[in-house]
Amino acid sequence: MDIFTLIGSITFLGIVKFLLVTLLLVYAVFAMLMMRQVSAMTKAVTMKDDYVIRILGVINFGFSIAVLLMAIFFL
Amino acid sequence: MVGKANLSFDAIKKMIGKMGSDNLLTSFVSFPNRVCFETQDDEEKVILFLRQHPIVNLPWIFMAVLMLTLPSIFIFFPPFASLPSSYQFVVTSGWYMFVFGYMLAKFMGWFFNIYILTDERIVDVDFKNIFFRRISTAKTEEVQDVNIQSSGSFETFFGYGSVFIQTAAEVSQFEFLYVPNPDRVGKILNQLIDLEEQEKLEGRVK
Repeated sequence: MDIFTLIGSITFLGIVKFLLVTLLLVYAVFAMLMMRQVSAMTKAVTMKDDYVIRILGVINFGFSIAVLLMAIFFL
Repeated sequence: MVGKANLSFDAIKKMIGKMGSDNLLTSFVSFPNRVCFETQDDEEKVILFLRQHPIVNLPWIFMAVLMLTLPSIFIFFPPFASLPSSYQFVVTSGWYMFVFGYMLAKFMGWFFNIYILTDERIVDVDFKNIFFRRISTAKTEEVQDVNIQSSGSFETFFGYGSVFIQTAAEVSQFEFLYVPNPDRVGKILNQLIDLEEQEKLEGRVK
């Protein structure tokens, strides 16, 4: 496949998919860092019922992975 | 030694009394249950647990509500409107996820920005964003000066303000920003300093 055929095969939706997957991948890394930071902070200062915020961190990370997988496989 | 430590803690408890509610989202509570921090000594007791007044969260809550309504506006405008429905679904899900992340990051910024007074020292947990956190401590005996500041209509109306603590420790100034009842915080801190000086005079060392 030469370069002109490759450029010719790029579509608007292809660019949108590439941008979406890249953004969601970056966000998933960010969500993972957030989850780890929550875990570190709840270890640094232990409070009553602080598992709630740890759950929120895990939900955010799970949500980011779910949306990333949706973007990879559904689009 | 333990008996004397307990004696002074009982004196502090009697002097200050129980204040504030003991729930997860509290921003002012004395003698909280189940609050401890990593560098806490075995016999060290938490006297006061503070966060910024909940009202400081209003700007980001307002912003988040605004952001949540955006997908219903996107739908009428290109290029979003011209995308296939599967793309629209992923973009909308991604947007809500981003807003959730924004809310969580802002909430964490408030939740983990903690100020603690113990019977031995002051602890300032700074959590500015997910990439920056700092825990500073200073012994009560190192406190040199306590300034209380409450300015502006919001702070006066909702009863919050800032407490600035000058110390002889490595961190020269501790800032307890936008805490509820700053006068009480200052008073309690002064009481703890007095008690520490009294203990020093009596030769009691924890």
